[in-house]
Amino acid sequence: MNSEYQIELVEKYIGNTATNEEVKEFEKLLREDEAMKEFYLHMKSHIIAIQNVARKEMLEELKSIEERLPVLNLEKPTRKIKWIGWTIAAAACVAGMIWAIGFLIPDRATKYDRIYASYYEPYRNLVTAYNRSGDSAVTIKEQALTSYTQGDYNKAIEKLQHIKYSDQDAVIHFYLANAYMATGKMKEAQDNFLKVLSGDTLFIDQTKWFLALSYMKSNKLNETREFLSELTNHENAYKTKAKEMLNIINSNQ
Amino acid sequence: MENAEIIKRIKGGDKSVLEHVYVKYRAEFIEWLGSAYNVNINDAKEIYQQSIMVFYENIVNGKLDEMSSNIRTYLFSIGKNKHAELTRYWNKNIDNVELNISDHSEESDLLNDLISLSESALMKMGSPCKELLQLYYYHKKNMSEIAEILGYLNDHTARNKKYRCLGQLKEMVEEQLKKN
Repeated sequence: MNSEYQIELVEKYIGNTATNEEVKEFEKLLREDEAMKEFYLHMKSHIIAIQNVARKEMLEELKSIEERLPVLNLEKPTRKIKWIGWTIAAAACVAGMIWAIGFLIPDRATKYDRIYASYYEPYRNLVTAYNRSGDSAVTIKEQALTSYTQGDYNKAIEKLQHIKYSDQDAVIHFYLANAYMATGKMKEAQDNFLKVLSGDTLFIDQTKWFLALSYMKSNKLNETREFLSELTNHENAYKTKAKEMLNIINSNQ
Repeated sequence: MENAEIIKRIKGGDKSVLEHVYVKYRAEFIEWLGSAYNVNINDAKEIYQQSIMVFYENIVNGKLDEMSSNIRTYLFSIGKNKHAELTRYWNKNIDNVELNISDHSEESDLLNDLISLSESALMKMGSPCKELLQLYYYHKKNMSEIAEILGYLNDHTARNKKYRCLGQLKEMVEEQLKKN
């Protein structure tokens, strides 16, 4: 019996894809052949180990998604006093921020620049499949997203532009928009974000959040309000921040 | 996006869709665990991450090809089971209850040792072997898909490479066994 056949037999047995006949034959082999039993134990341990390591890596990826999302505010207004306390604290915070923004920074455009700077953080790339390094990246899309991850936004733009007409998916436009935003090209960023909204249903909340920020940077407050308001209307990762930012803008009018 | 499309794209390796699912149900799921089971926010996040992982594994294992419920309902039912499972595990650790003696046998001890050795060998292997083996045994990609992802000529080349990588892993574990 060659080793490739043995491997396939063990894979079928462990993966429950063997036929009844194959199971019977294999279990008979395990009882009678010590070498086969040892081989089975080794193969089983390898497969479990491969899956364990992959699971650990996947959990790490999920944790990294969690880390860059806004903190969840799950305090419930179960007690009125507590709720009022939080409201006062939140109002004080907002008032403090308004004071800082309104009095310390006289120019309106600069004021909104400051708000933008306090909320804006480039979106992190989590799309590139299977954690490839830059050297082994095969497709242009992967190369572009690798450049994006490394913070080389100009290179990412160059590569993403190259494929945007042949690959119209939301991922391309979303990361292209983010790369433009990171390099301060707000108009280009907005054009690409709007393409995300008009097409796929992926990245909708993220897109609205970054669109709101980019409009704020462009001093277009009506558009900023529009997208922030949309984010406050349903549960999503940006709801709390959107509410907070909306309060600051409205108080600064 | 329809359920079928989400499942298809996750199965195809599109991680942005899994991230989309993660973000979409995160707040509601964590809040539900807190209110229904009095789970603190950090434990709730851990349960949510493990539930998303189970959701992913069930997709790549083909268990959700014919999904009758919606993703939200399915995810919450995984969460309920995960919470029960982790509560049992945490309680066991807190009470320092030993595992049932019948769980231990020479064979299971040997298997556990082999798994630990295989895990550390795998970490030393690096790319492309580690990646290839994970694509096959965890992400459930077939040989043609692996050949495409890793840039091999065809499925035959990928299959041969897989056997070589398994052989390398086996050798590394045996070498370590000899040292021990």
